[in-house]
Amino acid sequence: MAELPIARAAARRPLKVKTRVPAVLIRAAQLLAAVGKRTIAVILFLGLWEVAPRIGLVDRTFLVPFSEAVKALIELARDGRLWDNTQASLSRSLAGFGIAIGIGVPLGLLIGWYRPVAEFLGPLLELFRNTAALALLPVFILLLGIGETSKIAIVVFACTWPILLNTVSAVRGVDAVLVKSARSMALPAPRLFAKVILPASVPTIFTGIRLAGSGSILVLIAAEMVGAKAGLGYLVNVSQQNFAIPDMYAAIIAISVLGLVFNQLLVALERRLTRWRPAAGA
Amino acid sequence: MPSPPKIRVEGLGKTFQVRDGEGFTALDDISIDVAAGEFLVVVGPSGCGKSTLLDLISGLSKPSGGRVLVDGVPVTGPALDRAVVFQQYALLPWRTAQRNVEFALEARSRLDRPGRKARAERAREHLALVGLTGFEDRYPHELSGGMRQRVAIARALAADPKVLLMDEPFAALDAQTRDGLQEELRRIWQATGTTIVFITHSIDEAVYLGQRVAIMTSRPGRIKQVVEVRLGERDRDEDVRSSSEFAAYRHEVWSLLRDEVTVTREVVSVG
Repeated sequence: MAELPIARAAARRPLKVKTRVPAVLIRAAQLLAAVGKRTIAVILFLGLWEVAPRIGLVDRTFLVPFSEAVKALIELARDGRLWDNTQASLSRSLAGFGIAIGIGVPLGLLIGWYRPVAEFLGPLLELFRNTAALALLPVFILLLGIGETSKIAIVVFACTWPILLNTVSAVRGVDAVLVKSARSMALPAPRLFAKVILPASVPTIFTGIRLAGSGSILVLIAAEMVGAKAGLGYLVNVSQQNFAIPDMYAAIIAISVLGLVFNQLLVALERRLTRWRPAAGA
Repeated sequence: MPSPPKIRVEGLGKTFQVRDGEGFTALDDISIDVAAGEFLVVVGPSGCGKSTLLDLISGLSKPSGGRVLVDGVPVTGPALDRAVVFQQYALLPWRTAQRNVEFALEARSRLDRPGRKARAERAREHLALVGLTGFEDRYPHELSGGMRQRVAIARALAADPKVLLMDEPFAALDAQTRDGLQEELRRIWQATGTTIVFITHSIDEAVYLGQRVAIMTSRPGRIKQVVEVRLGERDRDEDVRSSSEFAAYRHEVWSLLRDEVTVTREVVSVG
């Protein structure tokens, strides 16, 4: 990260040597300081992880130092196992996530728009949302087998509720004055929907999508631990069973990085789509 | 009358259903004509049904009795010949000022909708009309309250309506901005010749803006009296608001309204 401004400075050097460089250096330093401030807690935590097993605070057999976990991660990446398992997890969670968006958003728009439907289905949706998805995993396995279908299905189940419920409340929360104003322009219902209701709902829908995004990985990993032949959850489990403890931690790190990247991507997309808002999302 | 009225309100009534099946009469037997190009201000105590009257003229709600005619044709629903300006601006926050004005033009049916370029051009013209040249690319949250209301007025006018209906458009603004916008609105009205029905609870605003001021009674809302205001041109250089004629009209409207406010208070204290 910090290299970027310096590299840029080097590229600009022929243009304005004397005025540019110090400013850029200051900016680089500021950026470094900002990054440092935001990552200090993480660095401390990793430091503790590194030191605690080494000085015998915890049993080194069960909690390997961070550096060994990273070493194992590099090894896993080198022999291709990391990529294979990540790919397996990623394709399942993205498929489930995508299907959940495909179901949740249109259905939510429909339910939110027709008040009687919302009142009729509300309690049922509330019941489903508060049913832990993993509690239903045995049911899914019974009905759909232990293959891909049941894993994707459980991701779909877990992701649909936050998206659906947020979309419903987004539509119902659209500023009544905007709707009234659009109606006063004799805007036909489909155009009112496309030009007012939908854009006004985007921020709240996205909150649901982000919730679903983190949920999709969480549920999938758990499902992969129960029964799978590939995937990061499987990798954690199989490493533990084979007593390859560094591999287990390596897989855990991979899961957390994957979750982080996924969430950051969604945040970036959300920012792009809601740029018109006064800096509230920041 | 020499020419037929632009808007004719005939025995208009509106009753709302409240709990226990009882009806609440918001408007009762309202009749008034508005001539083409006229500036009519309706003033009344809060809760007298002014906004309900505007909703009925705009076609946003249906009357319980009577009817509204625009150019002799009964109003059955909202249409683009009547544009509404709301107190809360009602701008789309995800669109720039320019795109908000264009929105009014997108509302037209596909057949007589101007093309993208023509829409942009029209929007720019109307933003210029309300003095917002240079602010086309600002989002509503980047504009002051007064500027937002200017955008809303530009949007209403861009659709080229025969009638402009304004529901306390300046009530949320500070006094100075409000005075400025009142002058501006008079200028725009003179420039465009649009018929305006303007709702307010401010007596000063009513007397300054209106050619006629209709005073409404409350519970149920009726038109008590219509005062004709003859102040001539509201010249920018001359402070009309502090003239003795202005004070006289102001007092007349105030006296008519005072009885209403007292009545309302009594009703409230008894109930």
